[in-house]
Amino acid sequence: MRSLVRIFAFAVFCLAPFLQGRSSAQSVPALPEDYVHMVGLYASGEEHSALALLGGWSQARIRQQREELSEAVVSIRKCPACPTRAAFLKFPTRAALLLHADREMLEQFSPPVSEQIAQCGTGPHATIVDHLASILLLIDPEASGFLRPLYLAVAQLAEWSHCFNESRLWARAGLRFFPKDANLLMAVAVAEETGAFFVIPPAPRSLDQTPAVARQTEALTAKLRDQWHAARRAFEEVLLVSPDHAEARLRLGRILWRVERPDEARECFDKVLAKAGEAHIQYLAHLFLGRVLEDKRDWAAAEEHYRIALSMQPVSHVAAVALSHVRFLQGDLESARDTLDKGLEAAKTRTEFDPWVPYLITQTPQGQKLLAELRQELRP
Amino acid sequence: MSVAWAPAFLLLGAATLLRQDPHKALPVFGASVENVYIDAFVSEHGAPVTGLLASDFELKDNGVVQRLELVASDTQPLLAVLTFDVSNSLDGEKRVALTAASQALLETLRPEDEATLLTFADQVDWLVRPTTDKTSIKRALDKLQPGGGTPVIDALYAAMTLPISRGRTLVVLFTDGVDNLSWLDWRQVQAVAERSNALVHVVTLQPPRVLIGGVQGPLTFGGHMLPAVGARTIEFEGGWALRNIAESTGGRFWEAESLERLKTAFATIAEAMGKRYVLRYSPDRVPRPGWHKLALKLRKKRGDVHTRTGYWVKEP
Repeated sequence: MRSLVRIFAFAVFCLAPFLQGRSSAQSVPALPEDYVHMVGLYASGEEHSALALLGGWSQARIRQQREELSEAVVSIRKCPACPTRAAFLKFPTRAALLLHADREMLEQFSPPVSEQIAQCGTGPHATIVDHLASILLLIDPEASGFLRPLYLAVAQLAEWSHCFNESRLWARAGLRFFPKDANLLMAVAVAEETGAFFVIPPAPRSLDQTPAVARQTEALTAKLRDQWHAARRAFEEVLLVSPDHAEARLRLGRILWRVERPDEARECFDKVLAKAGEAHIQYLAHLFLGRVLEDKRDWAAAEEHYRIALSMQPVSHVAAVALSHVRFLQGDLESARDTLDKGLEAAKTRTEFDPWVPYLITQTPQGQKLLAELRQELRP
Repeated sequence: MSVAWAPAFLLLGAATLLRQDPHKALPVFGASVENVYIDAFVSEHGAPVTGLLASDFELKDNGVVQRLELVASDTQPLLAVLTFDVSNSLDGEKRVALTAASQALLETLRPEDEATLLTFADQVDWLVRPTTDKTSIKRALDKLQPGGGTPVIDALYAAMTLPISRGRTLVVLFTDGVDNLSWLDWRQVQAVAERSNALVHVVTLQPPRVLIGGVQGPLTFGGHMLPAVGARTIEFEGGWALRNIAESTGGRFWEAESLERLKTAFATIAEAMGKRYVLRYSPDRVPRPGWHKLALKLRKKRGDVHTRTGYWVKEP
């Protein structure tokens, strides 16, 4: 008799999620009916309607949802057989993740307009995304294939909006789940580098500065130096995980040049150029190596690298400026002028950005593309 | 000896070539210096000081006093190199003001003077080649399509390198942003300015000193992050560098706080060109190759002297 009771109890335990399945969404506090409906809209392709509905939520409602999702994470982790897990198995968690990520970007990142004040921040939807990601990892063995590009995409879109701190935060949030993900490590490093690049350096110390301004100049200079070193460490981390990452090595080299370590910089560029790789990376490596050589007053060698760079990107005004300038340095003003004139004329025919531009400001449409692909995956 | 006018280093060993072909003369940084021409502007409380004689000036070339002659500046044609920032921030109102300011400057040029137009956004464009037809500049300005980044330093390099002048060169660079795209850095262009014959004026709508009072956390301006440093006035490298480059050529850095002031700045630059002094001397008792530090001041007269800080003579 006791055995029968045990068998019955075990059967109930195992079947509980399925028995409760039909009404599970309603019975789990984290999945109230209006929420399930809204996420359903997003999943079915009515993204704008879903985003508008979510935008209408009060702060209290968002807070409540965030807390209930936090509790759901604990519940699923502690009790895989409890109804919460079953409810989320039926719930389009991926769509919910995209919905909250979209809402977060809408509210926290300004559009990518250059020369405008960037308004950036982190809101409650970022935390909700984190809770949903934790849930997805607990219930879906293929969650990684969805979450890695999601975090990368949001980090890249934050970068696109010049929200460098947010870009770092999103990439690091993804790294908590996938610590060795080279793409996410790269996103952190690029955000560090671009963030440092966009800091306006103070004018050098001068005798006419007041002591207060002099101190602040020193402080700003030190802070900027720290930022460059943080970027350097970030790229070194990428290379630990992915030693053949050519872009990471290229960017590391440029940072080493910036922090006045030209020999190490040169080593990086030499390594990039030693292997065949993407054309735009090779082009930049020639340009950057040219600059290291130019600084060493090895103008002939620098000219050769600039010349190769220009041959790889014949409509590059940047390579033309670099080549022209090194010819100017050699006293050949006529050639400097001719090179620049022809280079600027050729650049007028350019239809895409010179690789130098996305290198500096990392305005890649990659984030949008990744998100579009993830949304597409929701469709049957 | 009679030579065509050209300032400072361009004449270094170039006198003969100038007579043959002025275009080919420009690259020469020779070691043989026959005449050096110094373009100077004298002001007192911002107003030009006129009527000075050669004897009113004292010039030291590498610390050695030189014997000066005054040359009539209006005998030499002028090339005005307008170099304008047409990045995203040049909205309708600014564009109209810039066109009006340019027009005011162009109207002060004589018929034989030339003008040329370079613009910069995502890249530098040489829109109008040197011409005496000033209306072509206005037509080009009317058609400008703002958009893109701000490669100020690359544009300044192009402005000092590309146009070939038959006489004096005036570069007027306008920007309302912070450089975010240049390949070259200010040190490189400072060196080019020292070897150039151009008089460079930089006009900006954005002061190089940014007061950041009470701002919490970083924000971006012109796409650049400004650190929050409390209510302090900090000069940033970009403005500081442009000011140094301009002043090293004898020009000025103008901070126009409003669109109206933009027009005033351009008009003042144009007016000052007609009130500059061109001084000539044959370097005496100074080593020829290398950097020549110039110190020009007034004798027994009041006034601030603006001129290039030196010139460069190439090793033979």
